[in-house]
Amino acid sequence: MKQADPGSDPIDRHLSHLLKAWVSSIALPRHGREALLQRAAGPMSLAAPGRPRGLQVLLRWVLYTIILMPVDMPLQPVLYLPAGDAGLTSWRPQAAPLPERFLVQGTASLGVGLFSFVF
Amino acid sequence: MTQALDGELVEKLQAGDLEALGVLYDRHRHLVFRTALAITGDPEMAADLLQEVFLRLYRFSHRADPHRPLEPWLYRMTANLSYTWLKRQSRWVQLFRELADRWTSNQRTAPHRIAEWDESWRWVRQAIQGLPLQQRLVVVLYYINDLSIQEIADILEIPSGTVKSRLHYARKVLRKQLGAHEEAILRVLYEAG
Repeated sequence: MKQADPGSDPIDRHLSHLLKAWVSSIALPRHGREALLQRAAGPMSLAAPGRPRGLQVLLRWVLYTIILMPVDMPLQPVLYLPAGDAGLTSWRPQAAPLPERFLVQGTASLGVGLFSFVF
Repeated sequence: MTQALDGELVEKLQAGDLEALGVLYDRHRHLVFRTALAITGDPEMAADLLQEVFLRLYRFSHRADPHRPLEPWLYRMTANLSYTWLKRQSRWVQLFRELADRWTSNQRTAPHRIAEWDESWRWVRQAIQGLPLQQRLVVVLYYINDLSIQEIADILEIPSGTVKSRLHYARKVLRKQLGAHEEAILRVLYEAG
């Protein structure tokens, strides 16, 4: 273990106390031992970095959706019934105009994201 | 078993004794959690790292030498895992996470105690997190874990001169960052006794 350094300036002298007080100010996670022994007793899998959390997962999902949407849109045209063709006589599958495809697919994607976040 | 030496517990661990793992966890969890917390600045990630370090101790116990002290192994594993986990997060993911954390800091997904902790110590956390990761590791091991330059050099497997120089540059930055909060520092230290 190191020796104290009495010659240093006030900030330096206090740094050790300050950092120790900082990390001591939050309690250790409860039930850590039980969880550890359960994981050790089960099939061993070592975790990936950090556990994703609630809203963070959703926000990440939204960001991915926005990034991927332009790539995804041309691949999956939304079926669209042209206006003024109520009789369906000349109905045929047709890609919707861009803003509507964006809106429909964006809403659907966000819906899935919300569902996965809540449940 | 709680009075057994670390070496004896490691030998039991090598024989697959889970109770030994529990005793080692109880004995060293503060060391691992606080080191991980100081490096990552994130209580949830530190809790995950705490589990991960002891799982690895169990899984790779056959590689541990029962005749050598366990603490340096724990420090090394905590530092390496923290380093790897943080490095794997790209800059924009970190930015996005901070944004998410800020949004959720007062909401149900963030435990109240963590939100409070984050608020009261934000300036300390920011000063530490502002250091390059390699300097941060050295600062944490030196100031929080009270290790000597040589012990840090052995743990991080770098020359002691490198430890000294990282510590020197980190001190300069911290002095500048924390100098603006001298009053708050004295208050915090007074409250902490």
